[in-house]
Amino acid sequence: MSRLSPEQREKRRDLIFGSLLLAFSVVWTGTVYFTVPVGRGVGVGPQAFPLYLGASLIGLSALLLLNAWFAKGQAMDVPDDEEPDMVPIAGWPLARLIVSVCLVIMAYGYLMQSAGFVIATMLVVAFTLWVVVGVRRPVLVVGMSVGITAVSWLVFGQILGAYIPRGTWISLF
Amino acid sequence: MELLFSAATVALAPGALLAVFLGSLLGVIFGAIPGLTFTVAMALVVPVSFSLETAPAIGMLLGTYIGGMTGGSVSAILLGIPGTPSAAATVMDGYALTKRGKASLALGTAVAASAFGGLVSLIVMIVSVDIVAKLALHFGPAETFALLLFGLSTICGLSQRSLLKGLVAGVLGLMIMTIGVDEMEGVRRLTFGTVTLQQGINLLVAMIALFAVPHVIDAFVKYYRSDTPPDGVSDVRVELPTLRDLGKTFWLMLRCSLLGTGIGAIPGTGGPIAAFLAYAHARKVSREPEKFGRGSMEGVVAPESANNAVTGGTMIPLLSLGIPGDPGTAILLSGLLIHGLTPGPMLFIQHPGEIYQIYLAIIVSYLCVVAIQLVGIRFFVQLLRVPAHLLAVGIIVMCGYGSFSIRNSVFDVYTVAILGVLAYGLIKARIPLTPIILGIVLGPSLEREFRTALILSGGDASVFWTSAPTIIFMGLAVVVIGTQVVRSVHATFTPKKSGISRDASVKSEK
Amino acid sequence: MKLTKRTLMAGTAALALTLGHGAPAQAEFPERPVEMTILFGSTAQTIGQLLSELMSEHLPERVVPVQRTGGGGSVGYQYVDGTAPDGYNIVWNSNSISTTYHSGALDFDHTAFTPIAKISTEVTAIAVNANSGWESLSEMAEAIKAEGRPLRIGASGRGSFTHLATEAVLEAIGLADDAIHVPYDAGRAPVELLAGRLDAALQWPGQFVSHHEAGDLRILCVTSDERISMLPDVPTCHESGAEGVSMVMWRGLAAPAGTPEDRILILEEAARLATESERFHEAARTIGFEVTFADHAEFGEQIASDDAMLEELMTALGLKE
Repeated sequence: MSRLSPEQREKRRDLIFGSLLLAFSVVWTGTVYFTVPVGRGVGVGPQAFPLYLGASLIGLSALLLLNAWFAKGQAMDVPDDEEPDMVPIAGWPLARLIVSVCLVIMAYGYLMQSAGFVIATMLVVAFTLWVVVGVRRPVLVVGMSVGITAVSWLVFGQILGAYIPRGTWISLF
Repeated sequence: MELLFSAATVALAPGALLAVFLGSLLGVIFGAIPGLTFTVAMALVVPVSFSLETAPAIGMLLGTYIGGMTGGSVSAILLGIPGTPSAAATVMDGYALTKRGKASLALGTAVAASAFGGLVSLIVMIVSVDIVAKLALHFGPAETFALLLFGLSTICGLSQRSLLKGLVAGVLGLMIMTIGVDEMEGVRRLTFGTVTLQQGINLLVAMIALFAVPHVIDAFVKYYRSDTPPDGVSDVRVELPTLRDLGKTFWLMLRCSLLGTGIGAIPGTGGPIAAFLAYAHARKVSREPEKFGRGSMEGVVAPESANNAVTGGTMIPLLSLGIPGDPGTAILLSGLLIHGLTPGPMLFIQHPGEIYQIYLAIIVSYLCVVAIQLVGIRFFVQLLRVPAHLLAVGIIVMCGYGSFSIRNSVFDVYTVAILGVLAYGLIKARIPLTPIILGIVLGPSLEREFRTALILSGGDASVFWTSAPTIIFMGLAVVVIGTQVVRSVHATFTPKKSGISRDASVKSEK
Repeated sequence: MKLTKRTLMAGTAALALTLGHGAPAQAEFPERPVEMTILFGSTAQTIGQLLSELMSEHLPERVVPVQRTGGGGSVGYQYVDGTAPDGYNIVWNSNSISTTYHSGALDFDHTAFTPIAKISTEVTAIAVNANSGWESLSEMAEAIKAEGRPLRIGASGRGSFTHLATEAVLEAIGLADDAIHVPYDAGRAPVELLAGRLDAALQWPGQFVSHHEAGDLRILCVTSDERISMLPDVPTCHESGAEGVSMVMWRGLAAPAGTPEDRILILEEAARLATESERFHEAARTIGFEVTFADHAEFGEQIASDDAMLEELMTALGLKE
């Protein structure tokens, strides 16, 4: 990755984001226009709000793009207070991390309903620690996996009496 | 007076006190855990309250409601993840304070402000229940819409760096909430023919996604970056605010409490909007507005006193008109009903004793909450000792289970995953998240009130500027948005000058 | 799509049987908790929670209430429809099975479920501001026609049960074309009536009772065939001028179609005992519903006849999809 000045990075980021946003808002507005009925009777119907919101987002993202395009190399919003934006890991490793967090959460939801809370939690904690985070201490991984599951099962299910999904595949606990 | 004494003997009996205490404890725990909120806790308490006597049953429900409202600030301050929507405004300065090692101070201040707000609203409620209920009648759909629009205009103040990006965020929040079934016309919007999407995006689910998932990703990223695993924050001194510190913000707390009570009394509004308006107000009148967002104690006091004052405020329409203002009070209503207390004008005539019991239960509950939290702070802050990447794994579990338990729906967990990753992308694109939350919170009511107002007026848009409240709130909204837009445009055309003045303000602060 | 899902479910159920508990087939049902899916919040939730608690007392295992709200009930119906028909998943249902199906929100109708028992009935009521001076529906209809302006009447959103009941009443009193339906949710109707922004509202009577007793609002009538125990002095809408109107909402229990009959009977019996308890009757008085138990056969007939009635009404209103 070539070294860019903060201003250039800022500009490039805004251009990419603005384009994505513009594309999204156009698709949104089109979908609303063709699939949501206008409604009947007095006043405004169910289509109006999502349609106008989509249209305003088209306008806003266009403004964002213009703003970024004509920015005179001036960093408009360089972070002032936070730690400097030195991306520690970028590109492929970051993308991998983000995607795996997303998949872990989705798998957790799926397993919770099908395999039940206990199995889902144990698996997800162990998997996250070992594969996603890369902790290589078996004692810690197993301990956390069993510990978090036991404590939350005890506190939510037994003490607080909340509903704990038992799973549709097999019903343990 | 005699009535008060006899109510006291019932409401302050050991069994009733225990019930309130247990309810408060449950509420604080559920409120403090991101993903679980007092709505879930109250739904759990209702069946328990079936078999209790009236006083302990109502006390337990009230305790859960109040405990949950205060508990939400704990994870907002410690982790930057609001425990309840009402605590979303507390994140901005509460979490900043934690980063500066002032977690316990912020937590203590939040509890004190919460209790203060709650008790002020109780007093207002007792003194003026009739007047306020009558005033609330004047808030029809058009008036409520104007108030919500004014609340939405605080987005401009929340988008610190770029007004444009703040507006983008607000619009995105409003858009998310239009997915699902439009209750008014019974029309399905953007569900693409699926039943699953008919549930729409739940507010709590969106909140977990926006705050918790980026937090988790960040924690992992930082873990990768550092060569040695971080030990968390080693400096977790327990330091509580002194009465003198609190005294300094007395007038701010009082104003925000009154604001919260007033907003709570209007059906269709609620805690989050009160908290954001109070935050905006505090920054406007503050002597050090530049500190906001970077760890201002006033930025914690204002939203916390306001959102707890809402609890007293919502009691007004609930008890005197039988109208629940938020999901929490809706459950409270069924708890009252099952014990034969039908809220409405006759409640005060037929059951004056029970009314006093409710008042006393609220007071006891706030005492319990303060006690629980003051003891709890010592334990809560220990969370900061846990290495961030391990804590993040715990957060994944809490949020997965929490989002599932709201409606026992796998779809909600999937939504958390997808919206959460998108939120991380938005953060990287420097889009502020708080306006999104504001949009999500206000979106459904904003649309409903707007459309209902137009139906009532037969399509005549002049309802939005013909009554006193609409003129006031619409005017305020226009002023707020107008000044921000002018300032922003001005800054765009003279970038150098504003850049320097910003640098100067930052330097002078340090 | 549905077929493959069903097959998959059956497959996993068979797998579960071999994996989990190869218990003897004679084992008494239920041998693990039964999940009761609850489709709505507020009173539906409260009654459902109480019912499950009372049913648990008469069964070897607990009945667990589980909230699955959203889409006017369709989300929960779809969930239960997708579960194995073994009696461990039941739904706390209502007329919403017909309204969601006919509005196009669901792609299966009430035949996807086997009725267990009817539990309760809820009746809607019409209220007006006491200052209006209207004592009956016919007086209201005359006054509105004389004034030549539309009647602003509040009910829940389009296609909801209260909206359908509203339309049925308006049709009967000849105001169908002279009324504006104002959709209101979460109990806002009394405020709007008190403030004079609405002329009338049709909602669950619990919202109106206290104001009615205080003399601020007047409940004109209830939409059922007979007067209700909560409001013995209030006439039915039929008596008040809306001839032939009979709109009540039942609630009951159902299981996915194909659930073995012996299990249905066990659950029906537990439900019957629950509805006979003093606590359930007391809750009926305070919350405001009628305990109207009916066995699975009778319940099935009512579901079918109501479905036909609602289909006709929704077709006439252009709500059928």
